[in-house]
Amino acid sequence: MTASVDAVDPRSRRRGAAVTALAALLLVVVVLGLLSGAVAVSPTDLFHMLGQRLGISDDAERLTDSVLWAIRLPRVLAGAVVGAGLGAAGAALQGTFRNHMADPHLVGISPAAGLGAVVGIALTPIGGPPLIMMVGAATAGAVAALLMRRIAKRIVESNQFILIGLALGLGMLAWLGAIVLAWDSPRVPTFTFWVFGGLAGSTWSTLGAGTPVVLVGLVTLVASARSLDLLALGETEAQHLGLDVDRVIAVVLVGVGVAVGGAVGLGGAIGFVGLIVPLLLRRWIGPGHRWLIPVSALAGAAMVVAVDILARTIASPVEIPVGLLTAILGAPVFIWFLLRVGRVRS
Amino acid sequence: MSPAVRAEEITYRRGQSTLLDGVSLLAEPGEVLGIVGPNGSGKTTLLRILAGDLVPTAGSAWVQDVDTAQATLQDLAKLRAYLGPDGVSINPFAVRDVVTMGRHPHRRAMIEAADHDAIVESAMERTDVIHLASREMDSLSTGEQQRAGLARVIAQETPVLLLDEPTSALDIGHQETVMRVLGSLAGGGTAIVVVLHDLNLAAAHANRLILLDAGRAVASGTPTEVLTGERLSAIYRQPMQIMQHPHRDCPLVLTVDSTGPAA
Repeated sequence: MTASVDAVDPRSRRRGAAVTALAALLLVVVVLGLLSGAVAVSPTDLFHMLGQRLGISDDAERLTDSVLWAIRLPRVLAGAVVGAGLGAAGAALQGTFRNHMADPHLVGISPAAGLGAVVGIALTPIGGPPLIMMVGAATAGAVAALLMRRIAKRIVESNQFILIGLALGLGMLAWLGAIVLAWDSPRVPTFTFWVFGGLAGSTWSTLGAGTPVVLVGLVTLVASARSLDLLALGETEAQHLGLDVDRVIAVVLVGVGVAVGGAVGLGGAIGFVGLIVPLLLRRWIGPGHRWLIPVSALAGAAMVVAVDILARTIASPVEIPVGLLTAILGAPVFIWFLLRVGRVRS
Repeated sequence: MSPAVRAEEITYRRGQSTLLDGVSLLAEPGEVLGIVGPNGSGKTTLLRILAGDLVPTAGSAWVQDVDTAQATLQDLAKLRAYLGPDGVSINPFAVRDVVTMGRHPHRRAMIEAADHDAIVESAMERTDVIHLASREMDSLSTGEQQRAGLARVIAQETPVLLLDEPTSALDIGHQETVMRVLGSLAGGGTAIVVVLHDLNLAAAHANRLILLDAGRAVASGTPTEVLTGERLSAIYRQPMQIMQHPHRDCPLVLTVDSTGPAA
């Protein structure tokens, strides 16, 4: 794993390969995502739809045009936006807390964002824009992230941090569940959506509200990348190098909360993406956040789009919530990582 | 020339306990000042006040002419570098990346990238970690991490270096190497304030010492002036005897079973 003496850092070579491979993967899964589903669609149909939309083709409209344009394309794009937000947020969160087990879902940020989203829905007039829900989710996500920072300052043991986050998340999820079940309104997505996520409800309208929110979060995180690198030395050490640690961490956590909030507003609570994507990428391209954060966004996007294809197709016509599948895939990776860390430390 | 580091009548209280009680010190450019004393005597607290991490309850500390309690983080980062005693727990960055982070305060200065790199390489050579440059920090031994950390603070190129037990995890060969590196940095005009547990290391390599006991400075001066058998035996509650080092011009501290005839 370690480089030989005097060799050029192999990580810099791997970065180019990683970006190329992941971008190609994203493109492939996006196309596959458009092609797969209950209504059979061929690649020619895809080009037909594009031709129609771009005004190049004069052909008569086909059924597949509307399936692709109104249902599949917003869904696939929503998956990519959700994955990008969760992947980048996970990378930044792990850097901030210097804890590679931190995940927006595990430390309670996603459940908090869900709670904020429901409050946002309650505040939205009937027929109002979904942006209010997104802002509610982003605000609650940011508040939860900042709360975890206050908690982290009081404890030393990293496992304790994860356990407190877990308890915080479970508590919020319970409140969320109680509100959703008691309110029982068609305006609120089901409890399953808030616990295990789902992209079935994606429309151009939700995509248009969620994407800018996630982007604001992403830009904030990428802009803080160099400061996150310094934090790896420890907070005191970073401060000695002139970094205003408290301010940087607050900015990053707000960025994490906003990115996760947008993702939860679009796709509900999807766990493990923010955990395993940066965990695996760090081993591949190295820990530098200027690369890790954007590449985690890319990989997260590809992962969620890919898993959503499985969610739609394995039990068709029944749909499996996408967060269930990410948990089925992610839990073993997480356990493997914990065991590996345990072996190194002891 | 103004002193590089100056502390006047520093008192630091936390809750009921007084950790420092009226401590003053002075370090000139080109000088290695050692802070010695038993556990809990206030060495680290004093160093952290000099670094600007802690604000003294009374008294003031200056690095060059800057009051450390009032300076901005960015200004302090160009004036003093600090190496704490703890090893790094989780740090997946390579040694070269970590040492390069030491250049952060000068990132906005008009310095060519190649010059930054040269400073980083030379710092790694000085502390004997150049062969570890591509290794991840958390794959290194504690002693290797400590030397990489020292390279990082050297690369920061500040007029003042504050070091808290920089040799605690090092084998005896690397202890001497590191102390010689500090000596040569001082030769270049850097002021070095270093907390040391090993009195013989302090005696051999520091120009002057300040001896703390229970938050008070009980002695300061050259190693020969500060390290007397009677004083050390009382403070450390362990009989000690001082001899002349056979080859170096400095005292040699020996622990003994009971206070025998003075050498």
